[in-house]
Order: sequence, then C-alpha cells, then structure tokens
Amino acid sequence: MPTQVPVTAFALCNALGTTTSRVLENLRAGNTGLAPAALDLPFETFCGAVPDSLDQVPARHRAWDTRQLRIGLRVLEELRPAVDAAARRWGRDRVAILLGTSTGGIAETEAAYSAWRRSGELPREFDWDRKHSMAALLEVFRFETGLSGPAFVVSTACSSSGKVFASAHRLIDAGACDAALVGGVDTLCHTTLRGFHSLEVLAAKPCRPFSSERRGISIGEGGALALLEREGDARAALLGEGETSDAHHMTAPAPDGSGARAAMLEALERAGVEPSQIDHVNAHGTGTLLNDAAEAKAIRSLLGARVPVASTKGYTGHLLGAAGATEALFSVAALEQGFIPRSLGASPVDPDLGIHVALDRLERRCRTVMTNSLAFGGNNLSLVFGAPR
Amino acid sequence: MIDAWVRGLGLWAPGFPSLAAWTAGTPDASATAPAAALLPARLGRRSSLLTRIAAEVLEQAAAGAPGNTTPAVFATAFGETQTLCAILDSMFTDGTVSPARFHHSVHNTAGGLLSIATVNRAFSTTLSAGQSTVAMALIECFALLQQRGDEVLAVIAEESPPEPFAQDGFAPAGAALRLSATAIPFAQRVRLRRSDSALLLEPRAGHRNNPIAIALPLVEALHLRRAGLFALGAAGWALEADPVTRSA
Repeated sequence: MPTQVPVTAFALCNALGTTTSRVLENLRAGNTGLAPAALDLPFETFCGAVPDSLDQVPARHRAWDTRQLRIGLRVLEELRPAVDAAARRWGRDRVAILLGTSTGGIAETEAAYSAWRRSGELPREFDWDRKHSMAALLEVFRFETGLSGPAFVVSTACSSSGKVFASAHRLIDAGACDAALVGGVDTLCHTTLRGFHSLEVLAAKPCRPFSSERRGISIGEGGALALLEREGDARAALLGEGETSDAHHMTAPAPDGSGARAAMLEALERAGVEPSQIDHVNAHGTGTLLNDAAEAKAIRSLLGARVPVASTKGYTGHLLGAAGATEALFSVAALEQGFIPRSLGASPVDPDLGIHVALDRLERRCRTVMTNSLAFGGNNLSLVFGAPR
Repeated sequence: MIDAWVRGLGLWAPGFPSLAAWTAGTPDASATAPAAALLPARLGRRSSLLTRIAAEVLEQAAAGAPGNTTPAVFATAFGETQTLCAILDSMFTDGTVSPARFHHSVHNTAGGLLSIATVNRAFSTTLSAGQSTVAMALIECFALLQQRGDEVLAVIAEESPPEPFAQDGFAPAGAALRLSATAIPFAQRVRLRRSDSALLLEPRAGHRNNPIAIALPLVEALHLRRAGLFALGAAGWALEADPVTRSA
C-alpha cells in the first residue's frame, strides 16, 4: 500500500525573487530572471542570479559565512514558524534535515585558493570544514532550528535536492523520523560556469529548453526548502519517487531516454498512479540538444504526446544541486494554485520531440504532477506530487 | 527500523589491501593504491584515488552477489578533493577547466563510474554528513532495505584533501558493507539504534582525523563477528550487532 507524505510548508529564493510570493508571481507572469553573467568570464553567457542583496549572516555564524549559507538562511527564515511547529509536534529528535547541494560553499573555496596562489597563505577567515565541507550548511541549520533528527546532504549533481524528497519519504516510512526539512541550495561560481563551458553545453544567450533553437544551458543559483510531515495540513502530497541510473556515460544521457523512463515508471508505481493521471510534467529540460531529446523520448513513450510539459529553467536557469527541490516546489505550486507555467523560450518547439510543450500558461486544476531531475553520473530522479485529498 | 544481516564487508587502507590484511595487522608497504579491478582501463585511468578506493571496497563487499541490481549508497564527507584542486589550479593558471576533470569532480563520481562499469541501472546515491557520514549512510541503507527488501551496499570512502587545504592530515581509506533484509544462515544480524552509551571503537593511528574513520574498526568488528553496540560517530547513532549462533 503506497503511503503519501504531506508537504506542509515551502519557501523559495532564486533569480525570480528572494521571497516565495515574489518567485511565484514572476513564474505565473512568465518573467525570466536570466541576465548577462555578472562574473568575470572569458565567454558570453546568461545567469539566474539572486536579484537582491542578501543579509549578512548572524555574528554567531560568521565563521560559516558563505553565499550558500546566506541564501539558505534567507529561505529558512520564511519557513521558521512551520519548522518550529513541527519540532514541537514531533519532537526535535524526530525531525530530519536532508539537503541537496552540488556546489556547497565552493565559491568561497575558489576565492581562498586564488588568494593562496597569490600570497602563499589561505585567508584567515577561510575554514575548510565550515565553508567548503558539504556538512557546513547542515551544521548551521541544525543549530538554527534545534532539530536533531537524521541530517545529511545528498550530492548527486543535478538530482541532489530532488533525491532528498525520496529519502525523506523513505525515512518517514521506515520510522527513522516523523518529519523532514528538505531542500537544497547552490550558488553561482566559476567552477561550474567554466566547467559547463568546457563541455560545450553552456548557451551564450538565455536557455531555450525544448526549442528547435536551443543552444545549451543557463546556470542559476538559489535555494528551496520544504517541510514534509507524517501527517498534517497538506498543500500537496508527495506520492512516489523513482531513482535509477543510466549506466551509460558520466555526462551524456542514454540517448533513448531509458534511464529517465525507468525513474518515471518507478515513481508512478510507488505513487499508485496511472500514466494517464499525470496532468503536467515539470521537466528537467535543460536546453541541451541531448538532454531534451532523451527526456522527450521518455515522456512520450511513458505518458504520451498530450500531457503539458514545461521546463522552468528559462526562468531561473539551471540551479544544479538546487534544481530538483526548486522544480518539485514549482510542481507543488502548480497543484496548489491551479496553473501550469509556460515553458519559457520553447517557441518554436522542436517538432522532433513529439511532446506537448506548454507555450502559454494554462489555468488548470491538476490532480497529479510529475517532475524530473537527470544528473551527471546518469543519476535519474522522478517525483510525483498529488493535490491534497 | 528493521534488522539487517551482514552479507559482505570490504576495506582498503594504505598498507592493507583487504580486510584480512587489516585484521592481521602487518602492513604491506607495497599496497599504496587499490587494485580497483571493477574499473575498466578506459574508466580507471583517469579516476581519482577516492573513486578507486570505492571501487575496491565495493568489489570486496559484493563478492558473490547475484546480478548487478543492488542499490548502492556512496558516502564521502569531502568528495573528489584532488580533482577539485586540479581544476582550481588550471582555472587560476590559464582560466581553463578540463572537461574530463570537471565531470570527475562531482560528489557522485564514484557512484556514476561504478554504475557504468558494472552496468547497474538501479538506485544510487551519494551522501555526506561531516563526522556523521558513516551513521547517515547506514540510516539511508536501512531505510532502503525497509522500502525495497533484498540487499543494499554501503560504500564509504575518503581521500585526504591536497595542499593548501590539508590541515589535519589523514590517510585515504574506505570500507563497505553489503546488507540483506532477509536472514542469511550464519550471517550476523545488525540494527540501528540511537544511543549515547555505545562502545566507541578506536580508529588506528593515521586515520583519526578522517571523517569516516569509524567505518574501519566497525567493519573489522563485524569481520571478527564481535557482538555489541558500536557508536557510529558524532550523531548519537549506533549499530547493534547480535552474537552469531552456529545454527541458522
């Protein structure tokens, strides 16, 4: 018997805004957050940078101060009342913290390395464990929330923060916790921008997922957090998850989309949902030739050619380690607010894909929404969310 | 959480190419790099020490496992630090990043390469939790066993960060556990518990500063069929291992 886990609260911060309401207003309005990269780079590209200045971290966390932490604390601030209520309801040791990140605090590591190259010394404020380590964000989140349940970071590149939803569902079902604060945070940095450029998949202009004119990805930054509880007032419900490997190539997807399809099928089976019941797919849709072609094959063969598909990467850029959680919560917002966002930049749609890409926003009450995250290492994740019953 | 049965174990540390060598205690000075036979030359040539350690301990623990469908939980606190530093070095030398280095720099490099090498299309994850990395890897493993039954592999490995980030140096090392959700004759039964009074196994010299250090004496204790409640690091979680009886 499949169980479902209520999503009782969530918050977002990315190129569309630093508050959840601003982010969702811009998503509904079809506004992009992409702009020419502000970093000093030897090539042209557009990025989804968090638009406003972020608060200083409190003095007690100065040693952990990174851009990742600043974004993380910004998102956590909005969720604090819900997190405190969950801690009171379930007990602090029964609430997990499961976060996804790909970059961690690497923006600060880059700066420290650069300083070391110039002067032979690391900056005094640089601390490997408190800034670079994947666990740094966890440590501050544990301190700030007082939560002492299981706490880990999943880092599987671009599926990282989607996979923590699956871990949370599993841990709650297994009795390891009763609730989980889940999500992810990634920041813009030279390593990823120059790395994706070296792979020749970085677009010079804003990304155009599913378009016949797509030329690659745009990278973004941001954070997304949600509270999943064993029981509670559901804004939507996490129904099922699929987690598979391509076993094909470190960066290129299996061309037939078989790994993505297997993840989507597993998610449907765990959710107890028929393919015909999926009313919308928030696709991984990066805007590269290979990803979009392989993912479209998977969608078409499993769900058919009529389900409205949108990629939201034209709004935020590809948030890498934070993409899965951000798009999971866009899916929750679609269910809750009754709209399917338009797939920004998709026109003219690549006719070879054979799927229905939403070129205009659709006002529609969906029953169930699927979202995909497909990562380096051939690591595939698919989540199915349902409207609260 | 449910009980599990230990079906296989693996260990690699400098001087100790196997769990048997580690338990015997006499280091073999020639064992400076793992054999990592699972990685074909094509994938292995460019692989980091971290990935080769993961390949080695996974192979040891999975020996005799049927098929290639076992879910795998990879765990490392710091990830591919040698590759990252090579990227930073070239980036601040001439502004370039090698594409091969870039896609070998992600935390799930070992998980990805080993899924390719063993044609395993099943579940794979890579997680991290500082000093609690070993405990959290096992929590995810037990939750997977409860969700899916069958078996799961925990593959825990760490390489030491290079200059200028090598502060409190430690030796690279790794350990792996193959756990089953169903009783296996003569296998040791284990379960996870929260405990503040569990036995703290002492890491050997050279490994104390390794965030995954506890994994080494833990698999050693299980290899020796010791019973007890073994602490799993900073998180207050412990693995309880039952006495092994002669009859199944």
